[in-house]
Amino acid sequence: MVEITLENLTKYFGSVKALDNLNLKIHDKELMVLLGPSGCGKTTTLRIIAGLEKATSGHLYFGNKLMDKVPVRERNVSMVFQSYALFPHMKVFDNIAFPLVIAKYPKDEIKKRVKEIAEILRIDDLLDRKPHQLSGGQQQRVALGRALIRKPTVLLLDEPLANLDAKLRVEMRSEIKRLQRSFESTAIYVTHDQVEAMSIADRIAVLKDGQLQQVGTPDELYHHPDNIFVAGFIGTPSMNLLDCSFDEEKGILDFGSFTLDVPENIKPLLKGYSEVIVGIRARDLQVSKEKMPDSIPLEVYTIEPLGEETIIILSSENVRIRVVTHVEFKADIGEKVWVSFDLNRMHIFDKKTEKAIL
Amino acid sequence: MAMSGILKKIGEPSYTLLEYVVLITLMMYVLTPLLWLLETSVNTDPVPYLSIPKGITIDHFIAVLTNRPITGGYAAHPVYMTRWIVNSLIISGTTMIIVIILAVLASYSLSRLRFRGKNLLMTLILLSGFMPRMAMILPLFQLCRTLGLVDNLIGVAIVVASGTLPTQIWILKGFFDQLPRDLEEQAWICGCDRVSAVFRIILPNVGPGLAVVAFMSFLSGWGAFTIPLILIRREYLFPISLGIASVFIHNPGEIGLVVDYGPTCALAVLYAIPSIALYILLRERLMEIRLARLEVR
Amino acid sequence: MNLKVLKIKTWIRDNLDQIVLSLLVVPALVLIFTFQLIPSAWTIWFSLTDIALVGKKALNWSFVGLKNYLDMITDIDFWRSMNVTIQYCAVSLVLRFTVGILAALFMTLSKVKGKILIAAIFLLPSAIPGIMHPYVWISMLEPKYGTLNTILKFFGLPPQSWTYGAVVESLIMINTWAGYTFTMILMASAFKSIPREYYEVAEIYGASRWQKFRKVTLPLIKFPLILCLILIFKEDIDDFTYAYMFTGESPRPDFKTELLSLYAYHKAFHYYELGFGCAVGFVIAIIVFVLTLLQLRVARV
Repeated sequence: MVEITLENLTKYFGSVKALDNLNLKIHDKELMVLLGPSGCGKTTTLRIIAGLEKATSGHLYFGNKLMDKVPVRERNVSMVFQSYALFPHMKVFDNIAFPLVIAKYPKDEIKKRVKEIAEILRIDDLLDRKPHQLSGGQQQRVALGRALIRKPTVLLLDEPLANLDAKLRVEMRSEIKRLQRSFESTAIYVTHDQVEAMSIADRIAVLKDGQLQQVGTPDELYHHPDNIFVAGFIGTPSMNLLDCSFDEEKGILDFGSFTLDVPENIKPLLKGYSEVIVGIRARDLQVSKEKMPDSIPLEVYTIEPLGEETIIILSSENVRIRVVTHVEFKADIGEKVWVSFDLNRMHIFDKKTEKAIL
Repeated sequence: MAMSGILKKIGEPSYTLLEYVVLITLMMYVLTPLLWLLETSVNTDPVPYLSIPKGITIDHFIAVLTNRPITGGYAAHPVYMTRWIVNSLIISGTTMIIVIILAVLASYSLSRLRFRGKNLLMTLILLSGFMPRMAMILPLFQLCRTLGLVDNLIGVAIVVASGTLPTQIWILKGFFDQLPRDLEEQAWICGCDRVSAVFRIILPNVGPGLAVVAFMSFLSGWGAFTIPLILIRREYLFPISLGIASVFIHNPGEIGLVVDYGPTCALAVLYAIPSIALYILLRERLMEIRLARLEVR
Repeated sequence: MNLKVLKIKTWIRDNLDQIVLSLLVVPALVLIFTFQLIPSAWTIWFSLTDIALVGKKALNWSFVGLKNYLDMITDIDFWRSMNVTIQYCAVSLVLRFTVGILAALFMTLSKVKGKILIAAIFLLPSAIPGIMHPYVWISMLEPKYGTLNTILKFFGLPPQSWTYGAVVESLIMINTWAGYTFTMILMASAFKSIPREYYEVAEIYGASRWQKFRKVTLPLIKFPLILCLILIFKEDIDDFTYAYMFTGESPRPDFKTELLSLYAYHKAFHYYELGFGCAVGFVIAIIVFVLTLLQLRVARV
């Protein structure tokens, strides 16, 4: 129930720079996802918020309160570790009750609350067992129970679903979102799985090499990526990113093996750029067996039928393009088909990871 | 590989037969010398060699445990063996307590601290026991006299503890290292300060380690001979090891002394009990010793 | 000036956690330092002097540098003692290890029943007071009334003189019988720590018991095994008690039991050459030191 502010956060581990001048505001009661590949600094950020690490420079605020020097136990945060960190020598009941026991709550209050949480998480029949007697999914829910029992101001989750099987992962995703809503905690969720991020986040902060790439709602990130990394990271299948050069005189984009005319409204925005990267989503392309206006001939490289839809990979000389199409479209490898680009849905990036339009 | 071929022909069950044979042989090797000890401790008329007892009695055991004066040997006057047992218990118990407290403190810190000289420090700790105690007799005596630890059971315990501490620290650190940091961090997040985290979470999970350390340090004190030999003059304070030596040894090298063998052997049997008992109780835990390895950078 | 103090104070407050942790190690270090390192250093100092316990040299001792060490190297008795010690350690090592590992096998991997009882029995030798060990063995080996000969007589066989007179062998026998438990405990724990899965995999591939032992057990106990050998040797080099009980305050004329530590003791207290005795003691210490370094190398593997 608090707004978290990260101000100019930098963290060095020896000579390795884990966080580079990170600035981020997390709104009250929102579920913010820190998304990025391994080593991007997301877990480090989480640990700094928890107080388990100290930033080399920069500040952390909960609301208006400067938290830099506040010790871990006074921060009223809860954290679910990737390994769950359940206490092996205690029963499930005691594991969940632990934070309340430390805070010296009366015994009956503790009992009541543990039972409540256990019911919500559907582990009330496991209270007498020890952690090693539980399955992965059960352990994870115990860890969640322990985190939620104190109704924390801040809830931190470090890849909580990473060790679960695919089906359970999808199930628990929505559980966690529901719980966060009902407890009204400000939650920060770390993951490298962008599908997971997209499905539960209120907002996502994408990190790479300790730097913030972009922050925004899943929608914003999907439709308006700020740079190449975000564009390529978000969305399944990943966005097609094609090298090309912009010829200002002729008003075309030259991809080497083919060219595209640039629409009038876009031309002025590209003024001054020459080497660019064009991004287009697989779903914003059309294939057909007949030539259509403004379409390019490309050869079919391979086809991946996925049941509901089909992914076709097309190639020509130096480019590979993924297109999503409906199942009825059948084509053979090596066959020549026609692809048309929806030029209004194009993203154009300066080669130096900057975006130009849309 | 001819061996497995032959065995396949004979069939595996004979393995077990072979095992039993070897086992019995081994047992005989172990037990035969002890026969005399056991027989003498219950013999009404004990002699320094194996004989068929003319009568069985537990009188010797009672004598030892009820502080009856026992004569014989080279002791100038009757000895009171119970006193020896009490002294040994005091020394062992104190050693165990000192070691446990200091080792836990040191091992936990060494496990959790990060600093460049750590490997060096661990190595130095292990190397500190390089001097044979015999060589250190005089300096040790002088040192303890200055500190007022001569003729003092606690003094003996302190010195014995210092001798076994390096090994125990190594062993215990191995156990602490095996505990993931996650657990402690989670405890802090749940509201514990460092101290209560240690007591509630860490210590319960190094149980086997603590058991091993307790066991080994107790036995160090129980079996201590050289250190008490150096530090204790007064007969009243003799532990069992010195006590038995005092009735057996007047002139080393002479065998076949006149001594009241009955109670002495009874005492030896009683002496064995703590070791065996502790071992049986802690058997499972002992098996889990994982010798600490140096940190790999 | 005040700024500096303030800086230090803030640093302390920020790092209080780490500072307290470091302080926790201090008591243990103090104990070890006081009662192990200081006497050791003192002894090394003595070894560089010609001090004696009583007599002229007790008061008028002087610093003689490495003279004691030179005397040692040129003293034929030192080398005779070294000879005896090496023989003792070598044979003792083999025996202590073999018996110990057999015992460990029976306690863990074998298929016999009643392991707890077996364990208790195997532990007995080191469970009884060390002083009793020689006496227990003497009662065994005594030519007239000893246990072994009694058994022989019982079977109508002639009594033997065993090794009652040959001294070093007796020492070795006693040391083996009393000392195998060390190996036993170490190796038993090593055997126990092999995860069951390895054996199960071998089982699936149809390995016989012997093959399982060779291919699974042996490779996995290499580390504890080497460690064990080093530790046994380390213990044996130091051995004093039994030799002392057999020999007394002055060396036997035939030098048959003169282990290094006993030699050091005699020189220090019988021949009143304390400095010399300490020098020998230090030589033993060096050997132990080297062995410990070796042990650590193995631990780093």
